[in-house]
Amino acid sequence: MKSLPIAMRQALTTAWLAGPATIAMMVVIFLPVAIVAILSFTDYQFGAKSFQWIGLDNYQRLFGSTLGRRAIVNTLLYVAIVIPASVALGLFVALGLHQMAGWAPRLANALRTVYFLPVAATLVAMSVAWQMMLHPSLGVVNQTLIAVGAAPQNWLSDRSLVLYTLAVIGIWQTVGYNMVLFLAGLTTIPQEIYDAAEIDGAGRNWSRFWTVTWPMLGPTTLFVVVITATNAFRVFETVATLTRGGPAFASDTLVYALYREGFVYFKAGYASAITMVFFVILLLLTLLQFKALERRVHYR
Amino acid sequence: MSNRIILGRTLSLALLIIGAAAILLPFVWMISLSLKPQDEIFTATIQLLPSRLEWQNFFKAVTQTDVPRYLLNGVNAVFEDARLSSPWCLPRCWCPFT
Repeated sequence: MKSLPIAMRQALTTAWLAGPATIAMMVVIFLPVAIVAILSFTDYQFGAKSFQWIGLDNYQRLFGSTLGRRAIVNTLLYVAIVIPASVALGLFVALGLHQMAGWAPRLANALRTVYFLPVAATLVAMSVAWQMMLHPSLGVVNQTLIAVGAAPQNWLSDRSLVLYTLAVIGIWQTVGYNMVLFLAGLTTIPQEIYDAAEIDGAGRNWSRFWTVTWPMLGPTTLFVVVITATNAFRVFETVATLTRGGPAFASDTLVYALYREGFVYFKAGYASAITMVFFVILLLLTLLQFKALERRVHYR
Repeated sequence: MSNRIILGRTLSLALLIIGAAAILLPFVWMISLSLKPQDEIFTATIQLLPSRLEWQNFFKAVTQTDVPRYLLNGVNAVFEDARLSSPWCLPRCWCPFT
């Protein structure tokens, strides 16, 4: 036993330590993805005994049909609203709270907790609260609008409005998370840089922000944008609980379409094609952002 | 302290509190609804405080529904997750090859 050379023993230890996690990752992540990729070229239905190879038909249906295209466009629009709004608001709140921590630490702590509440809360449960608030005749939002003389809206059943309503709920839910990430980023900026900037003439808040804070927050901002984007592409809970993709598929999104096709209509092949598109979008997005920003965001 | 600083702080405080109020509204509304009698939930007037506290809602949720069972399920899921995943994942943390 003890005659094993040291390199061999080290290799065995490595295999022993890393093996289980690697096998688990293969079995529960890579293998299912591979199966889904294969299924996406078939017309397989859950429970069916056989299937046929239909090539790219599923993909053609997703990109060619009105419904499929609408799900894609809706998702992209949702993401395009949520990312900038949520990241900007998160940054503003973090900057405000970071400064406030200097002169009213307790109040800043309390406010930080409030902003983080939606992140900690379950979105499905909070959707019920939103549904009550957005109720066309009894909800507090429309009551307030009537009280101030504005026209009440059908927030969740107006085809041209519903996606924006869902986007606002999405922003409401993610601002707190982005704020916490930005606050963490702000605390890592050393005070010396601010002192140096002041000596160099950047004394005002505005110039201090653009010369020190914003560039130093680069890595944090990149991370926040990637996290927000992946979460926004995954939008499902609010769609499923508040609108079910309606009215007339006006709030249909990729993940909801995948759920509907796969788990309501049992079209495993088509649902797999949607999954692959979703998977590729997230993969490309992450790669693109890391490649584009890698060089400019690290100051080491 | 100069006027400029005081003005800036007041402005940022006001904005942060308005934002916090907007964030908090659904939660406040949810708590308010949970304590309202049935007929006051479905009225077309804005009323944050119920005329009387309807604790019955909570009583019903805990005794007449399966909510306690759901909560227990959640606790079980957490512990089972930790129990089943740690033997696979923990050794990886000591692995010198990253």
